[in-house]
Amino acid sequence: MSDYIVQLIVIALGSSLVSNVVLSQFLGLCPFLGVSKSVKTAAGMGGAVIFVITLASLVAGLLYGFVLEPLGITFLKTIVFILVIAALVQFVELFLKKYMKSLYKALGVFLPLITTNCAVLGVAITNVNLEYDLLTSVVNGFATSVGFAIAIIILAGIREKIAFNDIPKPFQGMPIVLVTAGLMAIAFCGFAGLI
Amino acid sequence: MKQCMERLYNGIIKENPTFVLMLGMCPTLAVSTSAINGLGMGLSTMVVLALSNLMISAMRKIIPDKVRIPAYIVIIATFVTLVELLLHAYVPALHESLGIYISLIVVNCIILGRAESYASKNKMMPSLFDGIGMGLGFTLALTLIGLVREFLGAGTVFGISGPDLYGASLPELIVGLINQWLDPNSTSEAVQLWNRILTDEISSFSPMGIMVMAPGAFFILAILTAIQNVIKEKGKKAGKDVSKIQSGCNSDCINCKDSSCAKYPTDAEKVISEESDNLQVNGLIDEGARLPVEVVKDEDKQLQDDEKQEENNGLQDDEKKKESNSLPVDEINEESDAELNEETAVEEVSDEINSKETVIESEDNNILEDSMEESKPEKKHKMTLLEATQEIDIVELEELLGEEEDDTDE
Repeated sequence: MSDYIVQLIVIALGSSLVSNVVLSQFLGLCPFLGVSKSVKTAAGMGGAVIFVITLASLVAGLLYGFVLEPLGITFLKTIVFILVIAALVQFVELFLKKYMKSLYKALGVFLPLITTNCAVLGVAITNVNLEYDLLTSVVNGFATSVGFAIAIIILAGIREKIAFNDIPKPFQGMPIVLVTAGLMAIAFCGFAGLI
Repeated sequence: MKQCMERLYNGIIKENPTFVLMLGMCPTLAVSTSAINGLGMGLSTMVVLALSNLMISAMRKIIPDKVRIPAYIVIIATFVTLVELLLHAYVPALHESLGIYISLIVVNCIILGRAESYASKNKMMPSLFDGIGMGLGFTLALTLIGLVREFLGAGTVFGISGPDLYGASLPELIVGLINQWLDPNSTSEAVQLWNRILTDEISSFSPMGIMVMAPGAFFILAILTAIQNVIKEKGKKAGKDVSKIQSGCNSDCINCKDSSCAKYPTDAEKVISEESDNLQVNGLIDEGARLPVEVVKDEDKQLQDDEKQEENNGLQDDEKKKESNSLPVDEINEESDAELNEETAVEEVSDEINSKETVIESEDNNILEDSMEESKPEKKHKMTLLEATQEIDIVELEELLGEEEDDTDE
């Protein structure tokens, strides 16, 4: 039992810091670069991503274990996952809008942006490829999305400071953000020795 | 047939998905660690893109408008699954090295974007060639980026390292080529010196491992976008239509239509773009690239205001308000888009001599040159002086708008 917990912790650390979803796997790059103007919006986006990815890896894990595998149609996983995730996000949005107004206000506007985010599908497929069980899948999904939130909030913080700097003309805008992301990726390489 | 060739040209050069439009960045960065990976990924994407375009175009009259996106996704996912199984069966090594990124072709912005903006409105053959053209453009870009990263990061080209080539390492080979080009038989001191410097310098060449790691991808992309910025700036000065460059797909693949998301913003994007619009407009008034502290505060105020509005009016009202708020901007966008060609025509008339003198410096400039040529027939529009001056006003407005859009595109 304790071995299992240790394994879960290792997976959590690994997917949140060591192989960070944005900075070393390049998944979810669009929102990472697009919605990181201010820390406030970045935090909102991070929250929404944590919410959706955790839920999606739970649902995808259930579907794979109880429907696709018994029926022997695991090769349909890509189609099933993408449709289920898209439907799930729509459903969550409607649900929040109706019953949890305050949470909807905090995360609502970001939900449609995540529908076809490659990070969500990426986590679901990684879970299946590495043959994680249900609990491990959820932990992995949660840790991955926390890694995303960490990265986007740090980047937003740096971008808020960069706005005041004197940057060479060609590098203004997108390029300097990418350079920043590259430097962050170097920093995150330092976690490689962690596990 | 002519249209098909035009589609190919459009996809490979004029609207190259990576170098011009900046779409599908996730696979571009993740898979371009080596040229062969880039080539494999590009070709897989091309097959999916061409076939799904063909299929969607064939079914464009059957698919109801309301469920078209899920329908497109099912079609795309089907072809992705096919390609993945084929790769697994016949090219297991490539399948291994591309990993989950093959499955993730489903969520590549380019594919859904082309389905939405081209295949759903056009006949089958042009759609097929549109897919092939875009796919080839993507393949070309991925292979080139992969080539650069592989050469810098591992010192090889397509996996062939130095010793395989005529018993010399790659740097040695390059030195040899340069020497031969200088003068194969010369024993003059200049050549000797040149030879020695080069050999000393490059024989100590060791690959920059970071280029094949994650940070290298970001740096390469940063340099690429910086080059794009320069070209865009130059194009703007010459009065060319540069709206396509770096138009990107701002954080939302599914609403990416014709790669100009700013035209069809979703609610969320409206909030985000309004925010950045405010930022940018204030910045413009101050005439500085850097943003003063107040601007950030303003932005926060704006956010708070938005929240208050929501509390006061309820969500639906608020949405309506947002729409009505953004409506004028949208109108201006549409107007200016409709008149874009005419504007460029006007500018061309005045700058005709200048533009003739511009020297084509690079391939990319070529692209701009060509896009300009297309709008030349528009020149025949007759315009009174009054109209022309009005147009120029709009040109200025358009530039302002353009810059705002740039900002949201980040």
